[in-house]
Amino acid sequence: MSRVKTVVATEMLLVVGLLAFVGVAFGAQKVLGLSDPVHVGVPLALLLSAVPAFLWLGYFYLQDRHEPEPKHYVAGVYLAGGFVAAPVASFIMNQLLPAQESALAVNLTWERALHAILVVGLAQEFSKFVIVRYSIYLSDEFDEPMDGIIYMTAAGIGFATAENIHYFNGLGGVFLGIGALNAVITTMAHACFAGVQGYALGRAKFSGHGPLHRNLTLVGGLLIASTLNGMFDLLEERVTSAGMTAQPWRGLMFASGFAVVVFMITSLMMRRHLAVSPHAVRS
Amino acid sequence: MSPGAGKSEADAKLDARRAAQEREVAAAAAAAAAGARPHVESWFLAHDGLVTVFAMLLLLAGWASYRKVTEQKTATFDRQGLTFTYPAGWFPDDATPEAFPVSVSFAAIEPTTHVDVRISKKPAFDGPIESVLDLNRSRQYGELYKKFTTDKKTVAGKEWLRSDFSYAFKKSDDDTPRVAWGVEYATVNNENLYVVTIHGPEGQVKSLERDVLGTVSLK
Repeated sequence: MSRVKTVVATEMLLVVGLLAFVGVAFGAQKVLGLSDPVHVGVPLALLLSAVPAFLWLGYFYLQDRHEPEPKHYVAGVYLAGGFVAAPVASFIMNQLLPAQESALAVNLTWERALHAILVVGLAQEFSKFVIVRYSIYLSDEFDEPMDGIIYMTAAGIGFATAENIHYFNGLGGVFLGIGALNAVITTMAHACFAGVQGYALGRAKFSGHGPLHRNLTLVGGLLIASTLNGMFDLLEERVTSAGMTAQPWRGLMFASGFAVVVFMITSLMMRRHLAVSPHAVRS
Repeated sequence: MSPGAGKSEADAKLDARRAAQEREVAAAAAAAAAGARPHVESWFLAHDGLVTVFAMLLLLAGWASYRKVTEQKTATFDRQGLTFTYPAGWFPDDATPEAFPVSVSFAAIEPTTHVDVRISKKPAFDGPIESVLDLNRSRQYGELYKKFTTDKKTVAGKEWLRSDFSYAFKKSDDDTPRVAWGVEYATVNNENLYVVTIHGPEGQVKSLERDVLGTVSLK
């Protein structure tokens, strides 16, 4: 199968799978007559979080067409994203933002925006960065720029899985359809924010510049990813609660639009890395 | 050859030897320094320590800026003996209310959420105060006003009447009506009626009730 056909096939597969997932959730909500938020329980929360995660993981994994990474390495980084990066980010955020204080910051100010980027965004993105930089990055398997995006997106998807499990197990319950759509968007968004860092990680390792240049490249990647992450959170929260009534649909749609733009940027980055891959000629 | 000239030649040789020795020492020192400095730098940079340091500094900066947002001030109405805390980023529309009855609103620049304080003479009505308050609210918030519950709540040793309600409002004449939520704490003390109300979106009103109304205190 030609390269173009492979790309189209994987993307079609992904879109169909994700649409089917969201459609099934909305269908179940309608058939079961669930007009109020429901408590889904741990097994269903795991399932609802895992399905979009595996679809997105499959998508990003298949993008590495020249030399696919060992599946167990990608799976390991995915698990580290969920079991290490997410709790670490949560710990940092809890230390820097005690829950009882968050209610006071109800109005949008520049301090509030700075907090979204410099505390929430940075804590999440830095924890994803650390698990890749100090594990698989040191391995011989990390042998081309594209690997940065593959492993960082895996970490981001693992992170999003943990976040979605918390979301589905929330105290107030969730609307099944909106919850499923939110899981799809959140997973894509975290994968793409991490993907931006992955692009910088790949460039940093293989650019051939000195250590200072490499550090600055990584700092740049971290800063951009944190900014995107913070803006996504802020946008979703502000648009959802704009006016006096919470409107999850509106917040979700704005966040989706933002995430799709970041997804397109990440896709462009992947194309650039694939074009300069040392394995491109061999394959 | 004069003796003076011979001496200066010997001195010149000695100076040349000293200069060579100094050059050797300086070169060795430079080599040692060159060997040591990159070793320290390369360890830090090789492990991308700059990224970690940068991340930590920015996290601290974010934390410091957010402290300002979550800081609280205490509103004090000395003459009437009422105090409560509110977000430091909010401002009263009348910082030193002289007139009585007192009517002050605390809000940020974007006042979708605000706290209103009203202190007036106790109504000359023998019936339950709850009816007076409900009537006042229905007059103030219009025909789409809807009360949900009213119950008693004790804060700082004082019993307050707590009511939660919703109503429709328009930001401007051209705007479409929106629904706002409110939680009101009211009590009678020293012949005065104290009413403290939070207005805003449903979720924020609930959390602000704990942080603002949960701190009301009367002398």
